[in-house]
Amino acid sequence: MTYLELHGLEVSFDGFKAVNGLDLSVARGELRCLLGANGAGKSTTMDLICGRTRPTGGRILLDGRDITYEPEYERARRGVGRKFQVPSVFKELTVRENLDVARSRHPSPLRTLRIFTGPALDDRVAEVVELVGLDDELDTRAGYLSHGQTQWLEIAMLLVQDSALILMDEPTAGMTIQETRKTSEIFNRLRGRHTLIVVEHDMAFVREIAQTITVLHQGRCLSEGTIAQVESDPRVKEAYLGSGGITHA
Amino acid sequence: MPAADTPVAPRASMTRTKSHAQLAAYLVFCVAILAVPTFVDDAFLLNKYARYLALGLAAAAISLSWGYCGILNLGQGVSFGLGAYAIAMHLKLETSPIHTGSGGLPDFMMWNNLDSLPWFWVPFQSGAFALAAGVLLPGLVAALLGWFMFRARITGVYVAIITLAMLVVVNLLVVDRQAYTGGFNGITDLAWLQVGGVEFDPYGPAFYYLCAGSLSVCLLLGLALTRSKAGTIMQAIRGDGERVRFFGYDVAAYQILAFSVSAAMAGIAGMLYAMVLEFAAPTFMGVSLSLSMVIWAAVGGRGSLLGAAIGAILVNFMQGSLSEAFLDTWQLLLGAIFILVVVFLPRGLAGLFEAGFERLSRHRASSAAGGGAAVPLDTRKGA
Repeated sequence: MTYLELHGLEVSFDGFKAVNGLDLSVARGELRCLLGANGAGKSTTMDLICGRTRPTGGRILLDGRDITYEPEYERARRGVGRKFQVPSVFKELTVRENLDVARSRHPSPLRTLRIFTGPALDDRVAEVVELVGLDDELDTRAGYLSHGQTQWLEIAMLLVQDSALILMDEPTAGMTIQETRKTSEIFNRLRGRHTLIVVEHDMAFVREIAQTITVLHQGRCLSEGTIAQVESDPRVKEAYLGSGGITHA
Repeated sequence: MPAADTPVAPRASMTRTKSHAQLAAYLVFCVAILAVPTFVDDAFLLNKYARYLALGLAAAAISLSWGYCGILNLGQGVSFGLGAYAIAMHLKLETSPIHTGSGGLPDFMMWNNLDSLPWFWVPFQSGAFALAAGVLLPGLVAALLGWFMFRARITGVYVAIITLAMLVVVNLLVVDRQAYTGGFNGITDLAWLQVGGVEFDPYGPAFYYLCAGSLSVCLLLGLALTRSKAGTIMQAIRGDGERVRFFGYDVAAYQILAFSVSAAMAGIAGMLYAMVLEFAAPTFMGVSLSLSMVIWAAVGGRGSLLGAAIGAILVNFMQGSLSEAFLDTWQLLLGAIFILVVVFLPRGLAGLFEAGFERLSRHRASSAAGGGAAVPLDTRKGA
C-alpha cells in the first residue's frame, strides 16, 4: 500500500531545476534507498518531502493526503521525521533534554507548559537510549559528545520522535565500521514498523539494508529496482559511464 | 509530575541535585530580599533598594527572552514604558483635585488646552484596570509584534534592529503627543497607589514589600516556565530553531510566548519603577535605559533569571555608589564592564557560580564513589 507519493515534483533555484518532474512512490513499511551522483537531487528531494524547501511544481501525498504546501511542523506532526546530513543536535542541552525535545507527542505550548519531565525516562526513551548506548551520558551536554555519539544521539532522537516516515541523509557518514554495522542492524529492525528513505553513498551499507533502490539523475528517476536490476540497467550504466558503474560512484 | 519512584537513568540523582540547588538559590534570594526591611529602617535606602529590585525584574525579563529563547530585545523599554505610563495615568487621576484642574483633568492637559479627558484615559480611573493594563498591554503589544516577526521567521540581529526601531518610534510618539502623554516631561506628581486600604508610600516598607514580592513571584513563575518542557523547547530554539520545527513544534508560537511573557514582566517592572520615582517619563522608553537592561542581564548571566536580576541590582548598586565620583564617565565605565564580562565571563556571574557548583558536585561525587561507578542510587541522593 502506497504511503508516500511524489507526482511530477519540481523545484528550480534561479532557473536550475534541481528536481525536475520526479515521480516516486514508497509503500508503507518499506526501506527505500536513494542513489545518485552529486547534484542528482537526492538531498533536495528529502528537503521537499519534509518541507524545508517549497516545490515550484508537482504534488506530495502522504497517506493519501496532499501535504505539498503544509509548513514543516505540520508535516512533522503527521509523521515525517528527518535526519540531516550535518549532525544537528542541540549542543547546549543535555542528552536527556535533547530526547525530551524530540519526544514531541504534544507539541503545543499550552501542553508543554504543563509538562515537567522528571528524572525518570518513559519506556520508549529508555529503550532507545539503551539501544544506542547513551545510557551513561544522559546528563552530558550534547556539545561534549564524540562525533559517533552525536550521530547516535541524533538517531535516538529520530527513534523517540517515532515518525511513521523517516528520512535519513547519509546516516553513516563519519561512522566506524562497527558503528555502521550497528546502524544497519537498527535499520533492519525499523523496517516494517516505519517507512524509511535513506540517502547513502556507502554501497556496502546499501547492500546490507536495501530492498528497493531508486537512482536519481538530473532531478529525475533514472531507474528503480533491486540492486541487481539497477546495476544491470543500461541507462544507469550510461549515466555513470566512465566512473565504472554505480557501485564505484 | 510523573512518578519519579523508578529512576531508569543511573545518573538521575545528578540532575536532581542540580535542580534542587537551583531552586534553593532562588528561594534564598527571595527570602533575603523580603527580609531587608527588618534590618533597614532608613526610608531613603528602602526606596533605593525598591528601585533596584524593579530594575532587577526588568533584567530578569530580558533573560527570559534573550537568555532562554535567543530573542535579543533591544526595545524592552517599550514594555517597561507601557507599564510605567499605565500606572502613572491612574495615579495622576488619583491626585484629583490637587494636581488636576476642575473636572479631574491632569495639569498638563489643561496647559495643552484640552477640555475633557481623552477616551483612553477614562478607564484608568480604575486602579484594577490600570494594574491589569500595565501587565497585559505590553504582553499584547509584544505578541502582536512577535506575530509579525516570528511568523515571517525573522531571527537574530534583525529582531534586535526591529525592536530597537520600535522603541525609537514609540518614544517619539510619546514625546510628540504632549496633550495626552505629558510629552517630554512625562506624567509627574503622582499619588500613592492604594489597594484594599493599604497605601504604598514609595519610602515605606509596604512599597518595598510590593517590589520584593513582585520580583519573587515573577522569578519563581519564570523558573517554573523555564523548567517546563516548553522551557526546554525554548532553549532548543535558541540553539537551532530550524531543527526544532522538524520535531513538529510551531517555533513561532514558542517565540511569541517567550517574547510576550518577557514583555509582561517588563511591564510590571515599569509600573514599580514609575511608582518608586513618582513619575513616568519618555526616558523610561529611552534607548539608553533599554541597552543598559541588556548589559545588566549580560553581567549577571542571561542564561539565568536570577543571575540577570542580581546583575541589575549589583550594577545599579555600583552606579549608586560610584556615579557621584564618576558623574561624567559612568556610561563609559558601564561599557567597560560589559566588554570585560563578554570577553571573560560570557555566561555572566551566574555562569561563574554554576561552573563552581558543577566542579564541587563532581568532586563530591567522585570522592563519594571512591573512583568507582557502582554506587547504589540511595547513597547518591544526598550528594
